[in-house]
Amino acid sequence: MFRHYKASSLLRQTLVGRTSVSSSLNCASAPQIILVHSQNRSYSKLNQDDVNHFKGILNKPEVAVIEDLEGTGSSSELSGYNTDWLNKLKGNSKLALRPSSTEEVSQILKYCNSRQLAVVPQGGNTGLVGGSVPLDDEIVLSLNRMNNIIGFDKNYSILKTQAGVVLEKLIEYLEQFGYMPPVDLGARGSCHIGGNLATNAGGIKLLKYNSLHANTIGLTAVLPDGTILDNMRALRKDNTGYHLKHLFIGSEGTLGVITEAAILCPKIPAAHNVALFALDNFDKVEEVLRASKDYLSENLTAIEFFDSESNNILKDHTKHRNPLGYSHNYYMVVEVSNFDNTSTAEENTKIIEDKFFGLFEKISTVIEDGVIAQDSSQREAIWNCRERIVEGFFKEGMTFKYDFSLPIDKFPVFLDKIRDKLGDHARTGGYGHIGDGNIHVNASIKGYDNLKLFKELQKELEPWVFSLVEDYEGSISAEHGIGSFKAPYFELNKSNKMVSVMKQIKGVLDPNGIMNPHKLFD
Amino acid sequence: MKVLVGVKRVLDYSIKVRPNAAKTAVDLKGAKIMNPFCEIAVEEAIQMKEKKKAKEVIAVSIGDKTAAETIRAALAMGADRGIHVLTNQRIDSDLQPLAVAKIFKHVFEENKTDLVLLGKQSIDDDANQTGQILAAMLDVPQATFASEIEFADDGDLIVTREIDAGLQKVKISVPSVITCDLRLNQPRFAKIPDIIKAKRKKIQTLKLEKLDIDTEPRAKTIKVDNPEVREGGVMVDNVDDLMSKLREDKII
Repeated sequence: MFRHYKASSLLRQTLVGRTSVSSSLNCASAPQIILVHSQNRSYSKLNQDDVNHFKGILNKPEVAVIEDLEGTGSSSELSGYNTDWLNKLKGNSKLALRPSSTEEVSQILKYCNSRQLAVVPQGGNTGLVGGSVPLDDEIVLSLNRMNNIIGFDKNYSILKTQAGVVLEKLIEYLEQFGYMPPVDLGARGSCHIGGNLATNAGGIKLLKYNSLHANTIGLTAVLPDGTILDNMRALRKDNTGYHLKHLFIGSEGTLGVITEAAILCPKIPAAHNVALFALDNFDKVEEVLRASKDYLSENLTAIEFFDSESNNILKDHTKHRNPLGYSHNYYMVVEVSNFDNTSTAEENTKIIEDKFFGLFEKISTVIEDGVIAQDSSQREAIWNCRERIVEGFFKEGMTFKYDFSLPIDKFPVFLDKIRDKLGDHARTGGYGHIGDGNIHVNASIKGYDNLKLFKELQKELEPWVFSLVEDYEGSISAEHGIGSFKAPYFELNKSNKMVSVMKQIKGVLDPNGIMNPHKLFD
Repeated sequence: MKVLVGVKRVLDYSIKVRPNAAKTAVDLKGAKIMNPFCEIAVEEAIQMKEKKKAKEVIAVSIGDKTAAETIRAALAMGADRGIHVLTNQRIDSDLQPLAVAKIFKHVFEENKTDLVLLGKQSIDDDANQTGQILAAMLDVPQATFASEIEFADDGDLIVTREIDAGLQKVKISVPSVITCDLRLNQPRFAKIPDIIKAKRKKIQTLKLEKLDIDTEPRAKTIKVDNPEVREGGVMVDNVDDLMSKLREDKII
């Protein structure tokens, strides 16, 4: 009897709707590669007095202060704070601080500023550009304990939250009101909303709900000198002076620490469903994109693509299976939502099905095959085909990860050029948010033993690939940010004048250069 | 072989189940899907057709007019035609396995069936009774919790059953009833052209009231309620604190 219950709850568990990449799925299987070496550090060295000071100013020091001053830095607790999600970077920090309030963050930064101690703010540590871990012995300022959800105002659809709340928790919290965060990404089980803000995370919903810049109504940030900038009044409209909050969104922890935010949240659609299409050439992908946008308009809530190499990587290294097989060149995920809450679930299912059929009529000569999900487990299976590609590449071997904005029609020629450069040494795949003009390029060499080959290929690729993006007037980092991996190159992509103004702002807010040094700016 | 497959329309398992306001039944508002075990049964029947072991697959559902949509989903997977037994009785609670088995017996006999494939249970009532009762009523062999179905040379079926002690293989003749378990197969996705084609496949509608079958529930649901809310634990600072709290709550 018991066995049968287990089987059916197993069914429910394995088929449950959209779940997350928990941190247990990070690339811990990949051996460590250190790709960035710390250069000359111009800040102070941490000493015992500093540690004692922090123990004195923080509430519950036994959980708020994790130190290993004496040790070799191999404390297993600190290892997590020191290592990035890609397992490519390992810092040498001897101290992680976990404040529980904005006031404590302010005290920490004030002290660090006076002592010229470097600080790395850290959220869920799921960043992909080496921006969230120390490069040397910077102090890690973890927002883990600032995980209170302050509340949700239904009148204005504004969520107020501390920065250390995991995105998936926000999704669960808002569900009870029938709302959702405007941003969603594969790392939802581990990433913090504070980190999403600091990196201006994009994700799969950006097409429909716009960026965090558009949806953030207010935030509280602590400046490197400890000043608390409280802009949490959360008014829908407030044109009184420079909108400073936008400076911090996307600042990657280099201008201060975001501790709270007020975010405008959309309603959960009344119903949604997803289809997967298979196509054989890229012109047709563009046609489907145009047809989807034209025909579905506001009902189109996501549109993604991936190529055959990405699909093969998924098959070779993950348990996820593509219902349309492995013989086509491109695949597209199209999500349609209905916003009419007065229709019954039955009516909504029919409305969405009709929309898919309507779209299908327009593209039937252009697609090779297609499936529509029949229930939530099939929806999740289709989304997994797109969302779990990145893990597949990591299982293949050492991976070059790029994230570009480019004119969509240039995607294939761009991928071809990279394939030409890498030849048989790597498997190169392209996938991503085609509706936003954002392509993720992953190229993996086999295994983790050939660091020499990786570095040789890296010299071939960089900075060549970034100049190519510049030639196409694209962005060398659409949504992942600069971090430490792209810091040597970002000035290729922005005018000298812009970079100069950015450096001036950095100089004004962080004159001692303690906030996340060597991230963003080299 | 003519195969009858039962498909039940149930509340999507990703929706949080709630009791209705009167606490007499589950609130059925929300998206509906084909019962996952029924889906597995349909997939198995289609695979039998593809292996040329089955000639015709008939999808059967019982319920109000929306049950026809579940039949259409089975048709989109590859079933040939459907039979919809129309009734406004609640199929998650009032229409119970004994009644369902009687209805399937009627359909079985009217359609000269060789094999009945059912899900082992539905995710709303979790009864796990219909297949067994039906086999007994028809006086045919049954193999429940099937995780594999093979064809013997003599026309019998060899079914691997998932049981508490492990796996059991049974050999049964047709006609028979098999209920399907999780590991039997991975149901296919419905291809868009097949969904469109399915609209043209035939669904025969039978009114339950005309069938002269007693479908009165034998068990009555008195109350449906949420499980008790789990109260959070209390953090204590030290052992003395723990001891005094335990004494306060009269635990020691």
